Amino acid sequence: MNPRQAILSVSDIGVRFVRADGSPVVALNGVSLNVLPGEFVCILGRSGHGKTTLLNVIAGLLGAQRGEVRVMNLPVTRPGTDRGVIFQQDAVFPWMRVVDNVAFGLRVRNVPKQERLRIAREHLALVGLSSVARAWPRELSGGMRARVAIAAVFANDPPILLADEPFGALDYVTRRQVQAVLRDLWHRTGKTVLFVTHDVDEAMMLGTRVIVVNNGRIAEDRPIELPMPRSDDDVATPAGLALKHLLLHHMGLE
Amino acid sequence: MRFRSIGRPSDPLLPRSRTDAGGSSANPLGTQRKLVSALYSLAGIALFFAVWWAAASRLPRSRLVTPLEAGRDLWTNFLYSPRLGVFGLGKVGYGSLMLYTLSNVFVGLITGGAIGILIGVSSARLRLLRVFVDPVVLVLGTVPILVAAPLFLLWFGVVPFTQVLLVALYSAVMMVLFSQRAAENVDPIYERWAMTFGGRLGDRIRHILVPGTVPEIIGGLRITLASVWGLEIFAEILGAPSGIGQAIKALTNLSNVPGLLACVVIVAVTAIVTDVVLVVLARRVTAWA
Amino acid sequence: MNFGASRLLSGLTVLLALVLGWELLSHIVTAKGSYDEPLIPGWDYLIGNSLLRMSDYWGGGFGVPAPSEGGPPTYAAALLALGQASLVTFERVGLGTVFGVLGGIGLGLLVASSDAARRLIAPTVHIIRMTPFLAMIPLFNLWFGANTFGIILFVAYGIAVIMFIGTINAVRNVPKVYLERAATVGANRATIFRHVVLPAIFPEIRASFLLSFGLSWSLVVGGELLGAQSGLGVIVTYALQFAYTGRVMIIAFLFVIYAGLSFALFDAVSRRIIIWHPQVEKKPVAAQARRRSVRGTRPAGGISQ
Repeated sequence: MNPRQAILSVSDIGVRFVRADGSPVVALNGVSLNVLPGEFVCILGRSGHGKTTLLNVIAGLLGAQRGEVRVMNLPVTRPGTDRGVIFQQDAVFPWMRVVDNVAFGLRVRNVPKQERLRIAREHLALVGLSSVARAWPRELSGGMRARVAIAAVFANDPPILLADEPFGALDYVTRRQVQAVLRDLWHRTGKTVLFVTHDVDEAMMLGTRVIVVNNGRIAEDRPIELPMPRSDDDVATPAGLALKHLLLHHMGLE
Repeated sequence: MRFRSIGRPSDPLLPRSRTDAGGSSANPLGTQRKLVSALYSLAGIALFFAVWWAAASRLPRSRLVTPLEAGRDLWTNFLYSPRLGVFGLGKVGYGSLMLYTLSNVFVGLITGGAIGILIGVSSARLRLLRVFVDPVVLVLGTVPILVAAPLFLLWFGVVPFTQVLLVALYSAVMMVLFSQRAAENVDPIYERWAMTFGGRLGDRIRHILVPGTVPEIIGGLRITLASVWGLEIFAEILGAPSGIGQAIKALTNLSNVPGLLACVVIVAVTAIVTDVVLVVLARRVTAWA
Repeated sequence: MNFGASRLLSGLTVLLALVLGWELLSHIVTAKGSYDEPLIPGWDYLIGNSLLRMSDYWGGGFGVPAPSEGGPPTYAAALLALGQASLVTFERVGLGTVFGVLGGIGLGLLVASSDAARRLIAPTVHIIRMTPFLAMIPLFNLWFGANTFGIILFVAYGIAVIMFIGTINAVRNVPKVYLERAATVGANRATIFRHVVLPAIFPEIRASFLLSFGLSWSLVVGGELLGAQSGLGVIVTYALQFAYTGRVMIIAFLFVIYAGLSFALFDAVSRRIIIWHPQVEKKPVAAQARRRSVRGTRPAGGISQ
């Protein structure tokens, strides 16, 4: 793939931590990848193997000792509006009503009030939360708060979207619903998405491409050649099952 | 190859690095961090004395004197202070007076605290008891207990009992509150789990309730101890046969600033040291927490 | 009956029991102290004599003559005297608390914005915090005088220390994910401070303040009892000289009522402001009913390194 076309390119990233007892641990060891615009890349891996670290480096929330990250060919070292993030923990501000939460990023960029509220409400409608626009986050369920987070990040219209296991805390049914919401918005807007998860099924349902991170290295990087929009039946095919076994193998689980 | 430095000074208003990325230095971050911590503490203490000294050199002697002078006063008057003898305190020094204060505080804290812990833990489990304990504690707890100090003085006179009673009453009320909360916070899931093994009430109290509440109760004791120093000294200033409060009162009448500062220092040191002792004791008892 | 009603009933029962028990006690302990004042004055004595004789402290005015100038002791004079003294005390506790809160939070936010500053100041804060406030009263008297100014400063000092520590801890406890989210949408420091840090710390600051509420009344009582020339506390000082137990009790009641009322008022008002907080109940519920609380082995209110 031509790196100049890539919207995001990661070159030889190395990250080393020191544990509380002083012993070093290598979280990422020479990770490189290029992402084309419009891809939905699922970063798959077991807990503690480096996938969240990789996402944080790309997001600019963590510095790496070695290597560099470029977005649209410009190096990035800090968080920025070009990379929207959906966090693992609940990051919806409890002191703002839902609509104000969604409009927050726009407010930071001094978008006038009428305009930003209009955009916020638009996005709330897209995720199906129009009825709770004026509600306080404490009144919402976990699934609804996840949708608020999605609406908020899309309202800012970043070219790249980074998601760090955002649906891990949700129950099975809610998770499927919210996955569908995210996938719809992705279809609609054509953004580039990097989605970190430890759940193989989730990766296979959502992604156009899957990267397996194992022990700080990329163990596998291949496109998911299953039809989009994807249903359970598309995944439960021989091709799908073969892919699943391959991924589990690279994760070290088979 | 590009290097990025990680060890930039953290700005608390900006998100800190998600995890501690190791620096490029050869030092394992563990010892490096401990060293920096110790340096900050030393620098902080030095800063405290430096500011005191600076303020003392700018202010008149009637307001503030240097730490050295206060220290000197403390040293010479620790065992015997002739000027205090004038106030009918007998042949005393700051040391013996502080001992009186210390003993009152501990007797009061331990007796009041014990009663409070007993009532608190029991009322957390026994609904009927709780229903009557709560309003009493609510009333007694919001009263500035200081208003009882002059009353006790009138009733019981200028004797140690007056101060000890005040401290004990306050300690009891505080420990009821802390113990109740501690008992409530022991997750019932532990007891249920024990019951599935056939654990009986006595075992459950000994092996779950007691260890489960001890950390929080000791925390409560620590907070209570910090508060009762002031209560005891206040009561002594109002009227007592001895105590560092009496020294403070006398020295204020004499407008003796070095002496007054020396007394404040000795009180602060005692409070800090006893707090540390309590913490160390607590750690040994709750090594599992 | 439901939980709320049974608690109200038990509260009233206890109150009634205390009132009756007191009356009973006053008949059992009939000893009198100096100046013929009963050691345990019964309710009729408290209202008939102690309250009435509060008029002694009325200097005259509003058409009510002062007993000190030959006028008769009247309830009007008594209430005026108590009212006047209460106002003085209110002024002290009110202004002292306001200055203490503003100073403490202001300084706290300043220091919290720099990790280095916070760690450098930590030992000083620890020393100041561990020095018992009440033991500092004579020093404050010496420095500023035992008057309204001095007492206001003393109350402000005590409250400021608590609020300072509370603010620093609150800022440190802001969940990191909120700061990160703000950074990823391009917010600068000022924006993060105004839209994330300040609202996020409000509940914890409110909790610190509720804690220091009782303290502010204690500090005012302490300050007034040790040498003030006016206010409610000075009545106690006068009364102590003659062992007037009854009068001391009346002032004690007043303090209890004032402290309780002001606490309830502030609690109710501030509750509406933080209605958005997940853990705030819409109606005041006594703290005892709360399940989750802070574990006691955390550094008890200090600034952790």
